[in-house]
Amino acid sequence: MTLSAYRRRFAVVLLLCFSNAVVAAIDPARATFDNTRDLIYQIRVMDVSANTRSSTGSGFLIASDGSIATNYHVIASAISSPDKYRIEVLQDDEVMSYIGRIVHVDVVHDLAILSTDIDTDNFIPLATREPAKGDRVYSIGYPYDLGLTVVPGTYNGLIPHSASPRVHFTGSLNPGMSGGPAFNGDDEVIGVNVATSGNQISFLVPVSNLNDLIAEAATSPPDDLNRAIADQLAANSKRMINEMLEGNWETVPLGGAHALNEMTGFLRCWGNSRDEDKATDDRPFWAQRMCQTDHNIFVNRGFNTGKIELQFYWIESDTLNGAQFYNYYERIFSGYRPGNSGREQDLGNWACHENFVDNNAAMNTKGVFCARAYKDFEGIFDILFLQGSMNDKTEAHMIHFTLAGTTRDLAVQFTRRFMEAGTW
Amino acid sequence: MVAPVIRVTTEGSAPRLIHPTTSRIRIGRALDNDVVLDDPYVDPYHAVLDTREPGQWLLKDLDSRNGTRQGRGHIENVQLESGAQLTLGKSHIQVFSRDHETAPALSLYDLEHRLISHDGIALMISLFLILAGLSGITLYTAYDGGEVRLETIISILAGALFGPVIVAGFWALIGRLLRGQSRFRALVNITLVALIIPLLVEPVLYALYFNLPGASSLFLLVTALNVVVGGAYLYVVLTIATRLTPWVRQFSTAAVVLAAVAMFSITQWSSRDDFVHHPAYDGRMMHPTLLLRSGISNDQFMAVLPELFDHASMMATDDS
Repeated sequence: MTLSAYRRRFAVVLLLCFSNAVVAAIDPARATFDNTRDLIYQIRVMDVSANTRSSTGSGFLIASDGSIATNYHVIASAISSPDKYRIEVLQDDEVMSYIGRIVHVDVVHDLAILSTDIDTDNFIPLATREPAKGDRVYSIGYPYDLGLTVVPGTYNGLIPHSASPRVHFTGSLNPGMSGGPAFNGDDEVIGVNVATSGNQISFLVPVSNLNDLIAEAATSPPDDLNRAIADQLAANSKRMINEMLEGNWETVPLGGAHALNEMTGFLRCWGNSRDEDKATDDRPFWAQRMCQTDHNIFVNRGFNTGKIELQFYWIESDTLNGAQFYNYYERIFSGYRPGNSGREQDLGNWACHENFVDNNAAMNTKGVFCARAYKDFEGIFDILFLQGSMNDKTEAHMIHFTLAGTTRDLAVQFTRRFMEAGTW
Repeated sequence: MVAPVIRVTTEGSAPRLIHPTTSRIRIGRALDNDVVLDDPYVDPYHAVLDTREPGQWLLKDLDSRNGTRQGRGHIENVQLESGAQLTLGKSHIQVFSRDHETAPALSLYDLEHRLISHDGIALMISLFLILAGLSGITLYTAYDGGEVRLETIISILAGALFGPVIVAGFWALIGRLLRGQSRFRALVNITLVALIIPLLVEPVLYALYFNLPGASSLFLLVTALNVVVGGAYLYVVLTIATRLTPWVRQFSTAAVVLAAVAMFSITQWSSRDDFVHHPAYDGRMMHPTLLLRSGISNDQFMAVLPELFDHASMMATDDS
C-alpha cells in the first residue's frame, strides 16, 4: 500500500466520523442490527443423506432456554419427512451448529418454535404494543446465502380482508429471510418475516400470534404435531365458515340470476363477462363473479390449503338451440377444478356424489359434491361443490365453491345453508 | 363333355341361351350363323366352335376384325373348357357343357349365404346416407357458436364415410386372398351397419340415463354395447372373408372380445388408485325436455354425504 492510499483512507474515516458527529446518532438500522445480531440465526434444513442444506430460513432466540422462533414453512419438510431432514441452527461465522427440534407449530399463521442447546441468557423481547402506521421497522434475516442482513422499512398496519392476520411491511423481504424478526425502534419484535409479493410489498406475522404460540407451547406442548396441525386447520376453517354463515347472504344480480356478494370481510369478489361488442363468434354470453380468500395456508411444498372460493357463472344464448346449448353447458359444468393443490402423498382421491336435485323453489338443478381426505391430518377434507340450473333451454347458472382444509360437520353445515339459500 | 349350351349377352338385350343342333357351330353377325350376335363389332362370320371331336371343343377365330378374347388375352385357335367366357366385339358368350355341374342353391339359413346377399347398391347408398345424417346431427349439436369452417365439416364427414370403405376394403382383400372372392360391397354394407348401430343406440341410452333408474352407469353400458357390436362384426367378417370353420370363428371372436374386456378391466383396475388432482364427477346435464323423472330433494342429497366422507377417508388411508 502506498502512502497516498493511506492518506485517502484516513481522510474517508475522518469524514465519516465528522458526519456522524453532525447527525449526533448512529443510524437506527445499524443500532438495531448491532444490538440483536447475536440472537438471530440461520435455520438450515439439512438433507440427511446428502448431508447438505436443502433449504434455509431465519430464526431468533425468544427465551433463555435456547428456544427459537421461525416460520412453519421454513421447517415444514422436516415435519413431513423427519427421517430425510434434520434442522440445524447456526450463525454467520458457522463456528457452532446446533440441532433444532420442533416443539410446536402454527400452520395457519405460519409459525414454528424450535428448541436448541444454544447456551445463552439473552433473547429478543417481543413488543407488547402495536406500532403506528408509518413507524420505521427493521427486518433482519439471511436472504439467499448472503449473510445476516438488515432491511429498514415502514409499518403499514394489518392487511384488510385477509384470511388470517398479516402485517403489511413496506420493505424488501427476500427468500431466506423467512422466520427472521422485524423490530420496532426499541429492538422489540413486532412481527415475523413471512412473505413478499415483490416491489417492496412484504408481509409479517403479527407478534401476537407468536405470543399465543409460545404460551401454548409452554402450557400444552403437542405430542403429535400432525394432530395439532389438523386441529389448527379445523379451528381456522370453523372460524371462517362460521363467519360466512353469519355473513351477508343477500344476493345481487348476475346475468339473469343472482349471486352472493362479498359475504364477509375475507372474501373478495372479482367479476367479468363476455364482451359482446368485440366478440367475433356466436358463443353463449357469459358473466361470472369469483369470490375468494387472499392467500392459501402453506402445508408443504406443492400442498396448500385453507382456500375458500365461491364462483357464480351465468351463461345464456339466443343463437344456439336447446341441444347445442346443453352440449356446451355440459362441457363447462364437467370441467371444474378445486381451488387448492396437493400431491399424492398428501391427499386421497376424490369421492363424488352427483344427482339431479329439485330445490324447494321448484328449480331443477344438477348437484355435485366431492370430498377428498388428507392423509396426514385426520378428519380434514377438501370440498368441491357444484350446482347447475336446468330450468331453461338456453340459459343456465352454475355455482361452485371450494372449501379447502375443512371438516365434515362444517362442510355439511355450509353446503346445507348454500343449497337452501335457494333461488340463485 | 357332351353338346354345349351357349349363353349369349349382347349389349342392349337380355342374356339368352342357345342350344345348337350342329356340332360345328358358326358364330357371327350374319343371319345364317348358328349363333347370331347382333353386334356391329362382330364380323359376319366371326368364329367357329368345333365340337366334332369327342371330348374336346375347339374355338377358331376366323381372322375377325376385332378378334376373340378369353379374359384379356386374344385367342385364335384354342381348346375350351365348360364355363369358358369369351368376348367377341362387344358381346359376351359363355359356353357350358349340358352336364355342367351347377352350384347348389344358397341356403336361406346359412349366415354366410344370407350375409353376402346384402350387397345391393341401393342398400349401400341408404346406409351411407344414414351414417352421413347421424354424423351431421352430431356436428350440429356440437356447435357452440364458434366459428364454423366448411373444410372442417367436410373433412369430418369424409373421415366418417371413408373409414368404413377402407376397413371393408381390408377385409375384401383378405377374402380375395383366402377365398378368391372379395365380396366388397357386402362387406361395406356390413361395416356401415356396425358403425350405425352404436350411433343410434347411444342417444337412446342417453335419454334413458337418469330417467330409468339404474341406467346411470352410462359409460359401462356404452362400452358393453361397443364390445358386443364389435364382436358380432368380427364374427361376420371372418365368416365372409375366410374359410375358417364355425368353431374356429367362434373361438377367435370370443378370444378377441375377452381380450378387449380384460384389457379394459385391467386398465380400469390398475388406475383405480392413481392420484388425480381433479375430481372425476359425472358432469352430464340433461336437456330439460329429456328429464322425465324429478330430482331428489336437498335432504336426500345431503343424506348421502356421511357415506361419501367415509369413502373419501378410506381412499386416503388405503395405501398410506
